[in-house]
Amino acid sequence: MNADGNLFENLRMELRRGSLILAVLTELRGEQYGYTLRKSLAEHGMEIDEGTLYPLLRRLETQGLLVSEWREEEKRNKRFYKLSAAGKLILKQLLAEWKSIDASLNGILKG
Amino acid sequence: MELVDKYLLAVRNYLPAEQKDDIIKGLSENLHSEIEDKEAELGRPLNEAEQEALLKQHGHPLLVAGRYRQDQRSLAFGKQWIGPVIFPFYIKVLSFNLGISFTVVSLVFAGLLIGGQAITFSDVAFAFSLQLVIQFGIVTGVFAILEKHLTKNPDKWDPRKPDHLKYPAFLEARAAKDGQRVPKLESISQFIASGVFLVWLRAAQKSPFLIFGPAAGIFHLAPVWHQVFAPSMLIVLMGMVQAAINLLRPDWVRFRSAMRSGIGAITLVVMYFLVKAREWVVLASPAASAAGNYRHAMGIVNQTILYSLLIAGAIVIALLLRDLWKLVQPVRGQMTSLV
Repeated sequence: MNADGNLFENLRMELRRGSLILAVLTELRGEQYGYTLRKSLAEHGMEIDEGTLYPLLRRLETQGLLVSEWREEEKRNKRFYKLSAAGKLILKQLLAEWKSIDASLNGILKG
Repeated sequence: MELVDKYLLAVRNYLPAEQKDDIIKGLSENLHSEIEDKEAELGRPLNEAEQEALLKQHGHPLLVAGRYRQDQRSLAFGKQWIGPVIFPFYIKVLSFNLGISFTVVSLVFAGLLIGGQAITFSDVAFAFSLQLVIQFGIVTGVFAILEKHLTKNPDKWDPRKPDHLKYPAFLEARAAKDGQRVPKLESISQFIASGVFLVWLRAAQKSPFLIFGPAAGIFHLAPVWHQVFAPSMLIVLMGMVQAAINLLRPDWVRFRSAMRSGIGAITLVVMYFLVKAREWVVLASPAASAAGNYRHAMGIVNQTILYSLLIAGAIVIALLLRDLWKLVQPVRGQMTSLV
């Protein structure tokens, strides 16, 4: 990959990182476990590899935005995640911010 | 052992001790869900090649484990030299080595200062900067090589041949439960720290400037240090051998305790001879006219070294007792289980 390609890749990753957290929090308004969450995100065009998603879930839980519970489903123990009360509040604020940024960007793009 | 279990075990080796079980439990669940999903799609169990492809997609165990670390600090100058996985060990080794060399330099300057000698700020700054540059350069260089080696060609990693997987799962589970595994990164850190210390020791023997800094023209090491030099090298080398062997055989926990007990015993003998010597720093030119001015400083440095040796001796005895206790512990466990 050339220097321009590298730069684009770095900027793209930076842009995606924040959006990814927003997508994960939004998806977890309803309870899901890691694998189904990844599939659900992919179906919405938000591909995320396992090595990024699972540590992210743990981090969000440590930050108090998610709560998790181990439960048996289909004869196997699975860890189900969902938004905590603090997570719901943060998501609401982040979505408002997202909409504001989106509106601003659209305004700038239209000149 | 299944390929997935081997993979999980390999990831586990690089995880922070307190989170190992929880992370592996979650990762295992995700991997099995993915496998089940693919099997349902294909209508048959995945073969080994398909499992291997799936694990490769997940990534090298070292990199996967690195993403789970809360501490994401790394060392980068333009590009990343030391990544988050080995960074905590790098900091540990660097702090240890700097701690030793700074203590030695501080002792020398404290002695000179209390003895009424004129010390300029540039003398102190130069001596500490020199230690900092040497230790930082060597330790960073070694860890950068290690990082490069561990992350080189991640796509070429073969999930069928993860290292350190020569023991069955039930032993691993038991070992993890009882804390009977030597963490791989602990062995690597110990090996590097000992190696750097060995190089420093050899260099310091040839160039006292590395120990005394600008005071090297005033003080020399007493003859006793030259007498204990070979045993000291042996102690450090034994530590390196133990670390290297435990790197290959992390399950040899009793071997570590036995080696450390041996190292502790030899260290005590060396310390006995050191304490007996009663003089550790001597004047470079006792006959010189200014020698009288430095004699008081030398006395203070020697007194401080005596106290340091006594404290170090007490620590070595405590560690020796701990290692001997660990050495007999598994035997007791086995006897109990036999009964």
